[in-house]
Amino acid sequence: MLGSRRKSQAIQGNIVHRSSTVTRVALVPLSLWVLLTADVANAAAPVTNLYLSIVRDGEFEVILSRSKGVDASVLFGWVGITLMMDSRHARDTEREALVAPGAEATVCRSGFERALRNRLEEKNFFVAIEPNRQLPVLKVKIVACGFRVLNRSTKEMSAFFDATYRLRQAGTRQSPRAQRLFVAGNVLAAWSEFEQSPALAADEFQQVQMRAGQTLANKIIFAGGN
Amino acid sequence: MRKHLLVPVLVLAHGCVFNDVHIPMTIPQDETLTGYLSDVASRDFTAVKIIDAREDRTRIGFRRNGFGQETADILSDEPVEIVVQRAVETMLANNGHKLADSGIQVTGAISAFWIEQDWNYYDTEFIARIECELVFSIQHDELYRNAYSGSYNHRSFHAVSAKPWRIAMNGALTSLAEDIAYDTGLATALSQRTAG
Repeated sequence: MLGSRRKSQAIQGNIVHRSSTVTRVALVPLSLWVLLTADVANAAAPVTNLYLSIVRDGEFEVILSRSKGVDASVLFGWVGITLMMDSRHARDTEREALVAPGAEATVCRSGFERALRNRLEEKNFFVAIEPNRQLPVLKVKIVACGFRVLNRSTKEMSAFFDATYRLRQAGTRQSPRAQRLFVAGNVLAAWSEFEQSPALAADEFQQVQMRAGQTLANKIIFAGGN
Repeated sequence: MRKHLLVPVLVLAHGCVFNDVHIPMTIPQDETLTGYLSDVASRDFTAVKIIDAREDRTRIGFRRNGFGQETADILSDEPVEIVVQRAVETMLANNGHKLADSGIQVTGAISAFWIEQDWNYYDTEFIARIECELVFSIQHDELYRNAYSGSYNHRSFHAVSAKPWRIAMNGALTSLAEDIAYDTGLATALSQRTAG
């Protein structure tokens, strides 16, 4: 069963890879032939292809308070904003190093994309290697990830992942309105707790990326695919 | 003269947010909430019973001015346990299950129901977060238990009306319902046990 599925995948991968040299008239009957020759045991689970495009990787941030920058703009003008932003960014770098040692740990995309692809493939959604007008396109723009305050009264923070996405149906040029994907971590704690336990911070950050990827995959799966 | 008035007007505008905001919350009708629970054969559920187990049950957020100060309360039009209960029942119905006099009992406790406001240079972020634990039982025999959460971040150019708060809170409510519908462990537990 698995061998047949991989063969179907390879066949479909070749079709996508050679799409520029295959006419549209030939593509549809070829797709039907592939579907008809798919393993009988998988016939109950429809095979669905889509193309995934992550157009922006997002930035790792530790957001204690953005409102301080706004205060500066109101009272001291736009120069004040620049100064406050530089100061905040410098401090963010220190906090990044505390909770996420290593370059991989501050990347928004890797854990999210891995979880997204794994869940899609578990449910027979195959992500194409190259774009094709016959395939739906899932376009994701990662806005930011990291840690931010979720209750400014108690100063409690959690890990977060913030992105927008659009699922454009096959054969259409119209791009739908962007949807928001925001996932907050399960652990809400003061920044000092994350500082004292980098392992907790790293685990929460990985968990939130994974949940974001799985959540988006589930939304696509139950949106109907192509 | 008008330029000299700009800064005082901006300062006053950021400070004049002293009115409480009352938010009606519900899951938008165009949200399908379909998940792995829809793969489970239709089951009967009794009315969902949720309690509000938060430390601060008097509000769901603070209205803040541009300086981050608390100026008024954000309040739910209905008790938060009613809001979450209705969301869970809607999700069950959308996944093909029914409310009945007898069936699987769903009880739960809300540990977080909060919306925060963060001012940026050009817009304001409204970040809502809901957390609850649900227990699914058949004749008081626990079938499955899990913690669920929903969160949403809405950006708006203004924070004058209740609309941006409502959009963010409705988004978090939808996210919570989807978190339950997407729970493969719950779907497996429901599939493996027959109703009593």
